[in-house]
Amino acid sequence: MAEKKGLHPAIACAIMCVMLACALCMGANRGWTKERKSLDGEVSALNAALSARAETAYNLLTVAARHMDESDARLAQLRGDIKLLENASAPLAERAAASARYQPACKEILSALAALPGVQSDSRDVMYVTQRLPQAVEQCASQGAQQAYNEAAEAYNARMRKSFSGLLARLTGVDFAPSFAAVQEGGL
Amino acid sequence: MKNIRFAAFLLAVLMLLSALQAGLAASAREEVYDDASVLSGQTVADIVSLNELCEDIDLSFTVVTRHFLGGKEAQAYCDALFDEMDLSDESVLLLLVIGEERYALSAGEDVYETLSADKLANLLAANFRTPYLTARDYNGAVGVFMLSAAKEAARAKGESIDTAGLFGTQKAQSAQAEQSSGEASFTAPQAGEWWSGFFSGDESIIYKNADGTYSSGLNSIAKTQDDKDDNDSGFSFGKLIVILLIISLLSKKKKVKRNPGPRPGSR
Repeated sequence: MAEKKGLHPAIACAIMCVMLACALCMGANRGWTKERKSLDGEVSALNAALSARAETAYNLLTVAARHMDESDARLAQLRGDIKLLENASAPLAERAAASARYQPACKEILSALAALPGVQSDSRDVMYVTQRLPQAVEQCASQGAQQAYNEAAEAYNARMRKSFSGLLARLTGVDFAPSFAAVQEGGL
Repeated sequence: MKNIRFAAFLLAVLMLLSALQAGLAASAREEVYDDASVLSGQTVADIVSLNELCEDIDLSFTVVTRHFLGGKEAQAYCDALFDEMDLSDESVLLLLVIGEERYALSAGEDVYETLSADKLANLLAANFRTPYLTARDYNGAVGVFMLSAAKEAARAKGESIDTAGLFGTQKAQSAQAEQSSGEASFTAPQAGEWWSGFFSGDESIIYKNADGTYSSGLNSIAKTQDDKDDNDSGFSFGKLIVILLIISLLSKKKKVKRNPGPRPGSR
């Protein structure tokens, strides 16, 4: 009768180690993915702030369309930036760059509009160009949501850097959270 | 003592009912959301009055004004607003987007049974579009459209509504009389000055009459204010006097009871 041959202890140990490593990696991946999702609140607030900028820019373009040439480069640039600001799936680097351009671009267009005779002769649009829209642009330029997001992202990144499970999670494809401000300055 | 307590209790109940009524009235009367501050107090009052008149023909108007929509499409925004505001099937929602020079209308199913979508679109085109876009006479545009829509709906239902006095109709004579008596003189609002009172807080209201003249809404507003005092707060000055009268009568009655005179047999 042939004797049943068992698995070599070394192989069994190796398999066990591999399985343990896989379990650790999976656990780390799940844990840090969940942790990353906890940033969703800040991301939503950031998206809302960027959407508010896009809406104000739309309003500005509506008034500008009545008095300025549609092909004006400043208006075209702002139109492009609006698309980036309201597109939540666009790369954060591009959205941050658009966000950085938003306030100066709006101010430049508002100044140009205020100087136009067509605007000056229309008391309604004068009110929009000199009061309501500048006020809205200023309000939307608040960096509160950006700051909150950046702080949350930095805290997440720091925790990830310090922990072993964070290292495993990075190895299994969980990324650091990009910083809005850092991206704005020229990339990660 | 018991009577006074009862009177106080009665008063408290009355005041509570009045407050409740005021709350209900306020919630029921949110028919104008003038965020852009382009409608006069008279127009708002007239919209409320017209809605009261239109109760019989199952029609109700709600007006919303906005400066801008932030890139949203006016009709889609208006439709969403109609649902969000949970307006009834008898409602017509008119949205005025002042800064975008756009407007939109949404209506409930019952309205479309009376006035077709085409009919409403025609009424807007014929009565609303020109004063709204060309003259920027927002009060006039809203008034003329609503009156025409209400009359059309009434006609479709075989009824009639008396809208005299609303939105400046049949005010010409009183305005001329006022001007000739020299008691007050008003100037027609210049185009684009609709928002001037917005920052100054000037409540003077000048509205356009049916014949194209302008008159002040101050007097009529004062009148309607008195008339509506009761409806707005549910507690008018008259009611207060009546309640005080009842209390004083009750307390007098009590005093009489307290001093019934010398008891028989007592000295």
